Amino acid sequence: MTQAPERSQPHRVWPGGGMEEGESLRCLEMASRELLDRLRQGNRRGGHRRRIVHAEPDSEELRYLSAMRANANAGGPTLTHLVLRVDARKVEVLEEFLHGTQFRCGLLGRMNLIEAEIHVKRFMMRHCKLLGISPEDFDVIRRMLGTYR
Amino acid sequence: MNDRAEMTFRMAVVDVFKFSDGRTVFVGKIDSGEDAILLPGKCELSVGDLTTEIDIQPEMLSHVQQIDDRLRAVATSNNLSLPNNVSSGQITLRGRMRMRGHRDLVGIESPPREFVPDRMTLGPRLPEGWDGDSWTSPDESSCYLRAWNKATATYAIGRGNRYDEARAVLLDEIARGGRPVEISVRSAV
Repeated sequence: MTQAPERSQPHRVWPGGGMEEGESLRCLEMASRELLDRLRQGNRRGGHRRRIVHAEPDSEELRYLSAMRANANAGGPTLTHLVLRVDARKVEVLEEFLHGTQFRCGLLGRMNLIEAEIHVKRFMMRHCKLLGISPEDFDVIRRMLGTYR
Repeated sequence: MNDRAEMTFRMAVVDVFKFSDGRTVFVGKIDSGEDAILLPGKCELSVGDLTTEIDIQPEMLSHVQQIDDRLRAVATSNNLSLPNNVSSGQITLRGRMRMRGHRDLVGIESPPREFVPDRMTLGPRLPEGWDGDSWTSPDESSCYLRAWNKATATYAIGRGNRYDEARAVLLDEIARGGRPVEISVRSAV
């Protein structure tokens, strides 16, 4: 397990317009060290904590994310083991965290993968203020949802 | 078979990963489509001619960059030592799965027991206010389309040997207003 990287400048996402073949969407705001620490610690009673691993260069975790063309992953017996890229975005961390919540609530036994991802993205959009999602990242999530149609 | 019935998935493994926390992750394609929900538990791992049983965890969920041509991934914490000279194409997993969807809906006729969800169509395109799903016989020689309208509490069924036949029957019944949803309750003392 490694420490989160220092907060860096957001990466630029291509300017407006639809998603073209071969392009990928990524949110702007980086995951802060504070957010990752909070997820590691869990709630006040230590519940709902997450194990977080950063996919370092040459690691199997990074090779896995690349093979899946993914930026983050939730796994483990209760989907509380998160694998993140070293430049993980806040929204990616929130999404993987929420997959664990979906599992705990029993939702994943009733949804296929795509439904689970749509469900979690809609949740983030509905609760964007609570989750502190910026308008720019909200727009990226909205465009991600558009790719499922 | 009801909507919670378990079936078997088969994954042709294209790559294997050994995570730093000890998990072995199998990535591959399954032959049951995107509506298959892979279930955790006992799973048969075949490597060439060798077969063993492993415990797999719930399917891994990824924040993917592209959703097309999606690979599936399951992990095990079992201590595995795969032969070095084995290629990923020789590895297969067989485990429990469930198809997403509800075969039996309250007050609405259910598809024949042997029918399975039609993954190619998922649901017919329907008029405003109607939802539906699509089922097919295992040999794909018969289609069963079902649609329902919650606002008017009506439903319609379309059957046919071909999808377009069944769809035409379904849309015709919708145009005629459909059948009323009927819920009968019997009290027992």
